[in-house]
Amino acid sequence: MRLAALVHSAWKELADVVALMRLEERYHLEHARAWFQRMAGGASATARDRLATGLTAAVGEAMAVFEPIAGEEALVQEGVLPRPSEDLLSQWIAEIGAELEAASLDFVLERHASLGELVPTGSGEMQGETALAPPGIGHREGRWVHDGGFVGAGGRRGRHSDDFEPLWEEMTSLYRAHPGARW
Amino acid sequence: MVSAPATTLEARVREALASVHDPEIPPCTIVDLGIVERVAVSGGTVEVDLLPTFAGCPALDVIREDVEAAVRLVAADVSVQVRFVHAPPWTSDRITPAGRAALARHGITPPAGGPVLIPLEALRRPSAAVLCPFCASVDTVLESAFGPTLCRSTHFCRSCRNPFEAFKPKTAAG
Repeated sequence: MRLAALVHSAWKELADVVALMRLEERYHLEHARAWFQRMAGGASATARDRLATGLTAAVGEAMAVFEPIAGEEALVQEGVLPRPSEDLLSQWIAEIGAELEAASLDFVLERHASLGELVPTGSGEMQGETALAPPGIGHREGRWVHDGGFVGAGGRRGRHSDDFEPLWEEMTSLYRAHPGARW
Repeated sequence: MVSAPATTLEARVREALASVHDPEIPPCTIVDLGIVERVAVSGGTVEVDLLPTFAGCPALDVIREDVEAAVRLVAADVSVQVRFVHAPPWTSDRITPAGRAALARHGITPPAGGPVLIPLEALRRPSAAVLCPFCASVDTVLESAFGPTLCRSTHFCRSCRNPFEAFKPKTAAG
């Protein structure tokens, strides 16, 4: 969704590389869709259960991808970002909501909204900062929507949850185990 | 066929590029894969514009070094500038007939022509779109959209019972 918008960026170098990425993105989308369908609609109740649990935990963090970035207003005005983050989030929730609804899994959205538990921030560095609060989600006129805007600063501004550090360690361990190694 | 030695510098550079093999698809040269977008010679400078096949391809640095080395062999006294550009986006129909033949000879199914996508929703179900490179059977199944490199998918031939790889089709229209 973000890539579809960035193809129209006024920053030509960005638009060009995004056009290339779009051609390969669909393999990733279809791969994810194949697994979603297999787990959501397959014969295994356990798989469906675990998918629902995972989705509930992940929805808030996924929304954080749409947290407005610093200087966004200027970037939108200049056409570098063809669409504001909030706009993309609205579309994302509507589309994800429809897909989840089709699989009768849209309750994970409501569960997110009612718990309000999703704050992908929270290291010691965050003290004194407002925690990131993704908007709540509601169902209105047959469509999933979000209420309100983001509060605070999260991953897109370099502030991460405690989950980030072990993940970072893992993802960079090979690189650090072989300093100076070349492909 | 014995070709006459190339006369102009640009012709020599193009000939040199045709000897650079893709590090991830060794049977093919970068010319076979349609990666070379532009060659320009002016004064003491040779510019080579290359199109990455996939945006996150990890082989780009190696390709750049291989191109620089190959060009220096035929033009020692010029400066070589290799750029990766993204316009136009590389598509799999840029692979030449020679490149497709080389892929098939090495057990990698060349991408189907035209806007044919591997039907991923049919994971592990027969997909006649992809021919087995070993026995040419169409009785093959997709194992995964992802393989040892970004540009390859993995399959299984139910006819000759061989696992194999295919070069992913990647086209704008599909």
